[in-house]
Amino acid sequence: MPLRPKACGGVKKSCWALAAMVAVMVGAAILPSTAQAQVSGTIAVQNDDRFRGRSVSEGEPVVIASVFYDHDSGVSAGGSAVVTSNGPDVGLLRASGHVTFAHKFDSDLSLGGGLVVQSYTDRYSSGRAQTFAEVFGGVTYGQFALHAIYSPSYLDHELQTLYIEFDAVQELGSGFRANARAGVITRLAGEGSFGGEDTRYDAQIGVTKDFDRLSLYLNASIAGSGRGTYFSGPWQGRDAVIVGISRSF
Amino acid sequence: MIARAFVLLAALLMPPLGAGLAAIGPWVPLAHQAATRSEADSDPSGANTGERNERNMILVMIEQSPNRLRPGTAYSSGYGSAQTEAARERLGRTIASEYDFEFVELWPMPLLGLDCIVIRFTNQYSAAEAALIVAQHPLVAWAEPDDLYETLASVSRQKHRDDPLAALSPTTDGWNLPRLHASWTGRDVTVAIIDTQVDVDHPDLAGRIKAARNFAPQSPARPEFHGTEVAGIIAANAGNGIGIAGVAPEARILALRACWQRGSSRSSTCTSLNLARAINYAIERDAKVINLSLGGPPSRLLGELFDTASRRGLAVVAAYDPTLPMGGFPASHPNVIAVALMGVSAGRGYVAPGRDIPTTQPGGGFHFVSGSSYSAAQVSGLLALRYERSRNQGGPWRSLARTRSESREIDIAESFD
Repeated sequence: MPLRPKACGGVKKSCWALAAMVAVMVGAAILPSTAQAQVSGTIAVQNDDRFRGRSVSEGEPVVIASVFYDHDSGVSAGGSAVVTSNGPDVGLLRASGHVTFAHKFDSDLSLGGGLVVQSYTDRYSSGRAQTFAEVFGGVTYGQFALHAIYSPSYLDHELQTLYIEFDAVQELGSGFRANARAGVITRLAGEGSFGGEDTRYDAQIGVTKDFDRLSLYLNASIAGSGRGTYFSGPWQGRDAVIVGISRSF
Repeated sequence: MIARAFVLLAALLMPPLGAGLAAIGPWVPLAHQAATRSEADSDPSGANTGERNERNMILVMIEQSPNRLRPGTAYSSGYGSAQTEAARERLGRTIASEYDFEFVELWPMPLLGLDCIVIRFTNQYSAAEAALIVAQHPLVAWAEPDDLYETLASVSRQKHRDDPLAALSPTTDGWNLPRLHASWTGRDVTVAIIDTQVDVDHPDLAGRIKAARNFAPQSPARPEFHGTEVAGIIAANAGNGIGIAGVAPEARILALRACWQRGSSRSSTCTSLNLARAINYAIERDAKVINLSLGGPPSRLLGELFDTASRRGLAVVAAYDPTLPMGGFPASHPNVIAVALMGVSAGRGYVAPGRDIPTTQPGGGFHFVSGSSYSAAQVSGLLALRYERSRNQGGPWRSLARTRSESREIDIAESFD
């Protein structure tokens, strides 16, 4: 059974969410970097935008801007906006905002959690604007991280999901670092499935070369099982190579 | 598609990005800026070892905020602290400017959960005063001078070229190394030599160098005496018909240059920052033994790294300087194995042969050396053998048996029984 859209999804709701995200980003950008708080961010361009292994930009390149505001208390807020050209012109694809808390127990161990709200415009691969929220909690230990992410209405559908995600980062020396990520999403309740299955996995592995504040990255991304392609706007490959460049500021 | 991506970037974001970058500063890598300044400002041949820190640098530690999930960011983000590095650098600049000091660079140390900010202070203060002042800042965990350290060796006495010198080493018979090597050679045990530049092309070190890194931008890297001598004592090849045999002739060396030779004087100098970077690298690269044939004033930063190394199961060996209280630092640190010259009266650790030791020299030759630097190197080699034995047979390896309970001499038979 395909995913069933929630009745409340729509462009107006999406626009309000986008406005809120932009407000968070602008606010974070103009707040002074006091001794107790730090404002930072990244801007990146990459050849595809994938969410848990699936393209949300119809395989088109995107530019991603993100801003974070980290307070010494462990609370952090931030937002990101993604623009793409998968329509007749260039425009906003998605925006997200998050509030998180993290506590460091020692140099290796941190626990944290938070709330993230994502909003997609009708440039999203499904062609339908939507907004949905997720809450998460997890642990980081050294270069490893494990998070559980719960959504009461995944992708704005009547579907409760739990996504378990494992990340690892390893410095390789000479400015290179390797990263790997694997995740599995499970239907907890509600109607719908992931291509006929109750669970779906995705994974990525890649390498990044840092030049001071500039980073070049190359990632291999795989998603789910079954055929080599899936329909999302145009046909998309389950496996993809993501290349990009980002600059932190 | 790639071209389209760059068109997107140019059309949409280059103007604001360009303005932002202009505000941030020039595109010259910070590490290069720091190296350039260091080379310009310091005089390696005339490095001052007195109380005054002539380079006017202090190291300021700030706790890193916890790694956290940052949803919605670019595809390579991970969970590391790289995304916020620019902000932490701005924080370092802010702290430096509050005291009218100059920010030099930020060195993130995930191993300790700290950022080390290097700050150049003005001449009206001593290094200790400047560190004390900045340490009062509410965000600063602690601050300390970027001190100077000296390698602990006396000049060589005589040269021999391409002679089979192994039999002349006091440890060959004294520790019965041929018998030990029949069972243990330190095979594939990584020993980090934090010193001056090792001559990685020396024929008696062929195949022994696992990696070589330069953490001392104060002078150009070229083969130097002290590091090459220490490397030979620890891991020179055995049974190759030339020169000497190291105590652990199949160990692998991380040749980490944190000290620089002062002209042709054979004396060598290191800084706290260079040493910290090299020790951090050795821990991250999973060395089993770290050899520090040097001494100087206490450093909390280096002490924290030694404690981390100890928790991770590494052995840190340092030379004992009898002219300094408690043998100087790092020998005085609780998690460091101190090694003194045989015959020197000292409080703890071990004594080992360190006089008239044949070893490798830069350029492919051999000569004799003396000093507690080389005593420490002998023990580092022994610990590599002990680690190999422990890897195969189990059991602890970071301590050695003594000939008598009150003695500091090593009982080889008991240690490898």
